[in-house]
Amino acid sequence: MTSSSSPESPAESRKAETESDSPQVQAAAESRQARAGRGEGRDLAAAGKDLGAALVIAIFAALTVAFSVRLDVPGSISTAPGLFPVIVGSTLFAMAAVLGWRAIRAGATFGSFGGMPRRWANAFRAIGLAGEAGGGKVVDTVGETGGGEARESSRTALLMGLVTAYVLLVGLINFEISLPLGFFTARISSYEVISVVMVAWILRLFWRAHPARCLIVALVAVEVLASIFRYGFGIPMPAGY
Amino acid sequence: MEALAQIQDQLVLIAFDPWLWAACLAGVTLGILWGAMPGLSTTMAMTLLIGLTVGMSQYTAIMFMLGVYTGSVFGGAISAVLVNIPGTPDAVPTMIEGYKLARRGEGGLALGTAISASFVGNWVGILLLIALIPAILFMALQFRSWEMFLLSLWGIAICGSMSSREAPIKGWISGWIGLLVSFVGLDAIHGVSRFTFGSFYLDDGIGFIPVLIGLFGVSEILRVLPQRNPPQLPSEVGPVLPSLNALVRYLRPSFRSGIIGTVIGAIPGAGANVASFFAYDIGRRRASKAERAKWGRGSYEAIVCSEVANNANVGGSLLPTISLGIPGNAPAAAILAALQLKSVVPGPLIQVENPGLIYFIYIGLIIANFFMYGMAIALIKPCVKLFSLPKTLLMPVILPICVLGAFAVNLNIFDVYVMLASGLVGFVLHRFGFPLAPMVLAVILGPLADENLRRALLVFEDTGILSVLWDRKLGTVLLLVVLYTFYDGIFRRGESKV
Repeated sequence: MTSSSSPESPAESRKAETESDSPQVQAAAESRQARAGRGEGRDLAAAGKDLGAALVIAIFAALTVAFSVRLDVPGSISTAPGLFPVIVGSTLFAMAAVLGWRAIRAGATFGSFGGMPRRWANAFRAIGLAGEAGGGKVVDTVGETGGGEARESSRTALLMGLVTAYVLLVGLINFEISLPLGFFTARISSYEVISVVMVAWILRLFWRAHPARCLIVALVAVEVLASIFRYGFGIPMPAGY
Repeated sequence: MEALAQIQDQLVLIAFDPWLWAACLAGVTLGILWGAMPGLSTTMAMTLLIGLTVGMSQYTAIMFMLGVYTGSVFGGAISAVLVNIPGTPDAVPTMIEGYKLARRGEGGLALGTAISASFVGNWVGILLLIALIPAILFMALQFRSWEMFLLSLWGIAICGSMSSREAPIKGWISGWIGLLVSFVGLDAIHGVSRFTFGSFYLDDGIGFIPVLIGLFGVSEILRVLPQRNPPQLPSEVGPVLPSLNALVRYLRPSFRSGIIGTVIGAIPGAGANVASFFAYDIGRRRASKAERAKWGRGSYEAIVCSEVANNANVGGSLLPTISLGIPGNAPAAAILAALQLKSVVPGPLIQVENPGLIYFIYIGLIIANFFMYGMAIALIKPCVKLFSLPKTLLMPVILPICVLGAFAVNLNIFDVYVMLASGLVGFVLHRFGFPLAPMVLAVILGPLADENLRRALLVFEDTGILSVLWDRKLGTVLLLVVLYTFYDGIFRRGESKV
């Protein structure tokens, strides 16, 4: 991961920077600072991000304008459905251009925003490796192999995956079980089952409590919430609808 | 004399009917709890809780709905201050300031200030509602298509420059992206599909509630949970109520924000979210230099401006609702529906058909305001204790609330996907330094701006733009204000830091 790309420890780097002031060492230090996001390097990194964002937004704005001008015009041009989108798209393009121009003036180049995709690719790769290593210690495994920012990126990527999986499962799986209890019929839907499992899993990974404790917290929280919505407000659960 | 007799009758009616008090208290409590849940808006609370009024008498139902309205508008501040996720869209400025205070261990006082401001805001709204009905209605009715378009644009522009003070262009870009999102679906004038790419799910457009929950709820979870040491709120509540000195100091901003909230509330279509951002922006401009430096970093005065405005909006929005039958905003439309459910037709004839009902509503609002104050004070300590639990425990539990909140609006799973997409986009945008508040406001105001711009342009075809600029003075003033906001953001705010 990123640790292999910068073999020196932070303490050693700082020592080297203070002991020598040759141009090569200064340039290397600046480059390291840029990677670490400190001092002037942080400005450069931010400018790189702005340039990347400006490029993506400009493409998005241009596509919007292109789609807007192709919309039907049933009445006069004043009431054309694409009129305001064209205005907004064009001004968004102009704003993206200004953002990009400002970033270039701050020292960003088109190569300087390449770091972020690389870091994220590393993060996803780390999750894949950790996932193969197995089980509930995914975060620990990632944490042990990565450095500071990469470790957080890995955890973020993992969480994104879990949240996405949770939402997709809620949308795809659909069942509801009725349990007649004499005076009252309790209902359990796929939303509750999926929520309990996923919330317990996320709690286990990030809260790091005992699995049984995570499961109990998830069960109580989801059931209280589902009961308030279902019985209190009469709102059906996502999958029970 | 007749009015005094009617007021007396209504006071006697309320004083001797404990069910009315109970309904109001229940409404306030449910409203606060509903508003405090991340992303569950006032509108949703009103529309869903209308169902509970079916079996109630006319007066009980009105008291209940007024309680829900008052409670839920304040409730949004609780999760905004303590979790950094606004309960309702109008709590976004409170979130910007309050969460920073909460992280410094001043969450109790921040919430106490919000409660006091809400209480004052409600009073300002009620008093202006009673005293200035004709004047405010006259002012509100000057807003036609062109003015409504400019008002919406101004809202997005100031929200952009306020929430990204170092680089307003990032705030405006965020707002403009929100506008583009709001265009998705069938257009309101011709019914032409825009950016739906053949998906019938997109024909109804993208709702602002799933976007709000995604941008602030899901992206906050994605941001906070992976941190090794997520920010932890101190569990010590500390002083809760602001001192008398502080209250006196905030008197002027309170009164100013109250007027802003009431007037904007009286304009049909402009909601509490616009009011709170306007008051927040104008408050910053009018604040002392020392106070202005705190803006965006945890300012009590900013919380006062935002909360007074969005609560004064309650009274303001009821103005056109009751007197003209035109709802001031979406929650007021729910009040209108609740009244119609009880065979009351709001409008110019309400005083003839239902003598004294207007006074009943005034008194109901006053009672709801007192209940809101009491309940909110009682809930501060448990809320601070609850939200000071480790974020690693709290955030995963908020996730299913987000899913349910997004789903409950239209009972449509597609909204949950929209929430997820918004959360991922919000997370990325935040990483790139773009504020998220302008995007939410733009998604809300986008349809209003689009429809009104095209209507105005249609009118301009006949009259000519120059004569419009000359004849419609309010529109011209608003146009200048919008242009000044952009000028201020580009050339002055960040000293050419566009």
